[in-house]
Amino acid sequence: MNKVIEVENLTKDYGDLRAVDGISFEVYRGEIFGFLGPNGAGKTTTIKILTGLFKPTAGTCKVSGMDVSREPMKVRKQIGLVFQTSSLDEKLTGRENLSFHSRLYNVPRDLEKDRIEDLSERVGLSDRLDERTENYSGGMKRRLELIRGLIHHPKVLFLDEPTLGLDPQTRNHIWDYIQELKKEEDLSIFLTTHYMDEVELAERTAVIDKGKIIALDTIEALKDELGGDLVFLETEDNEKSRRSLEKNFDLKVEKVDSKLKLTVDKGEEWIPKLTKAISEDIKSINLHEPTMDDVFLHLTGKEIRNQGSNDDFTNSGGGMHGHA
Amino acid sequence: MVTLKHGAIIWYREVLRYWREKSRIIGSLMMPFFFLVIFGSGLSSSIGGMLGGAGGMGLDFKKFMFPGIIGMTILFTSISSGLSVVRDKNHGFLKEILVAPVERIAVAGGRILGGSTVAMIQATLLFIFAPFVGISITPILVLKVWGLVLLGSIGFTSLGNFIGSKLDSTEGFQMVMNFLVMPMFFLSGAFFPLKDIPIWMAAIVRVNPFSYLVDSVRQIFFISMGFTSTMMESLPENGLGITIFNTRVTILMDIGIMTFFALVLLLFAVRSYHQME
Ligand SMILES: Nc1ncnc2c1ncn2[C@@H]1O[C@H](COP(=O)(O)OP(=O)(O)OP(=O)(O)O)[C@@H](O)[C@H]1O
Ligand SMILES: [Mg+2]
Repeated sequence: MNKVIEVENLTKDYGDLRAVDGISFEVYRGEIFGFLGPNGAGKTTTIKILTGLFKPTAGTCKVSGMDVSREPMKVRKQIGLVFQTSSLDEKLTGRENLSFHSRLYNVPRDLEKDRIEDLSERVGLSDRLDERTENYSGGMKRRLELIRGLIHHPKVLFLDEPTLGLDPQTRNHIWDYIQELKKEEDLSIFLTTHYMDEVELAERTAVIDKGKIIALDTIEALKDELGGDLVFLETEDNEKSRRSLEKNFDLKVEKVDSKLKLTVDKGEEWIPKLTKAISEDIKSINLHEPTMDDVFLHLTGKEIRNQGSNDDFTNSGGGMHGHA
Repeated sequence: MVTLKHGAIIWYREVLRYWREKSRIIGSLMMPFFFLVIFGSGLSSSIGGMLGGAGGMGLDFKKFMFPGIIGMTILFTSISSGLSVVRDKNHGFLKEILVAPVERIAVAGGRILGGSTVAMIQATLLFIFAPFVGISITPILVLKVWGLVLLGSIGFTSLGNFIGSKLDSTEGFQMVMNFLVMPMFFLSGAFFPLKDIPIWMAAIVRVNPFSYLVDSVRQIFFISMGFTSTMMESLPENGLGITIFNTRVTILMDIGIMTFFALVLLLFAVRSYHQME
């Protein structure tokens, strides 16, 4: 049995609204599976069905070979879940939250103690464990929730936007930890996010929009489909630079506002080549790796719908943005 | 076995959370205190007459009120346990419980018994006012009262949890307190003798489960105060007891009726936990 999650034709209606629309996919043992989509795409709804919180309107889903609707108890023992929104008891201390969880999942007492020590050490929470979680910062809460989801050694870990609202440092911290987990065999991770760079860790990624999976592949393949990275260049004399670039390389150079836009493969390797090829002073040069925006534009022919959220999608590694 | 353990840990959390809010414990004693001081002292002369023959039994308004105040504390504290369901929903903690491999009956049972435990503690604390009221407390009396208020609080925490499971906002819950719990309190005989009241009111008093809690606790107190059986017989004439079809409701009948209500409400609460998504 190599499939830990099997989903077939899963559909969920909330009244008239079809939140999940006949999706099918599989997640293999030991892999990180990315679930990428904008607000309201149906990511959380899918997780709630997979974890037995909601009943699907139609379709089936199995976790570890067991039907979630038929054997919810057995499935629940096998999964860990970090919710999109906080789910701590703020009047209890960190340790008490972890301990409560361990008891509900029947973790033996001696193991419980060891695991709490070990896990909190790994995410740097050991010294704050006996404080009430209402005093924790957002990042600390998130880390606590993450290790809580692991304390019963689940087979599948569901992470619903685990880095939502965190500063870059804490995000990296959490990502390092998830990468560490990835090395441990037998744990599969189902990860939802808005951010392209967060699914870089995933073996495979499904792009979901309006309840439908519109692409499912490795993230590299998805990006490749876009035809590469964008480089934006501004020099003292754009026109002259454009001519020399077109002469030296087989490149398509477009003029966008005061800048030159080049579509290239592996942008980071192109930048040194470009700077050597032009003699004019360079005012600015920017690499823009494809973001979810771009993937979306490509797959659906339209911009990401901003469904009443103030989340930004401009989280590319590149820096240059707002070219559209 | 596992289900029992799960119920126990959920119960423990309820009690722990109560213990954490010590200011709430003190605060919740203020209302009974004011009731006793203001109404008990201020109204005793004017209402004392209403107690009629009972006045001759050494009964004053404070003694009349005291069982009602124990009942009030049980009612309010029990129903408020439903508020913690709404809070857990809003803070997301309920999801953590619902997604765990825990039978819903354990969730319902743990929470209801947790809420009942809290209500029992609150009610027990009221005994510190007994000397002020002039009632002497014996261990037997306390045990009897405990039995009754346990039964009552299981019923009312079930009701609170049932309501809480259906609501999403604490404001909504406040509305329920105002439109359901306050009438239950006032139309029960806890607050004033049920003498010369209109028929519609008398009807409501009889279908109100809270009336039977107040009635049973009051009878226990009266007996402990040394009321003879003839005195007990004459209580309803003075508005200090309930009659159904001209039959005086005894303590045993109170217990029967309360058990019935408690079971029905418990069933509703457990079912609502099963339906919760
Ligand atoms: N309990 C609910 N009742 C009614 N509609 C709901 C409910 N939960 C979600 N929806 C709707 O279903 C759709 C999908 O929501 P879902 O929460 O699954 O999206 P999402 O992909 O997780 O979005 P986000 O990135 O904002 O978290 C949305 O249109 C949402 O409004
Ligand atoms: Mg979501």
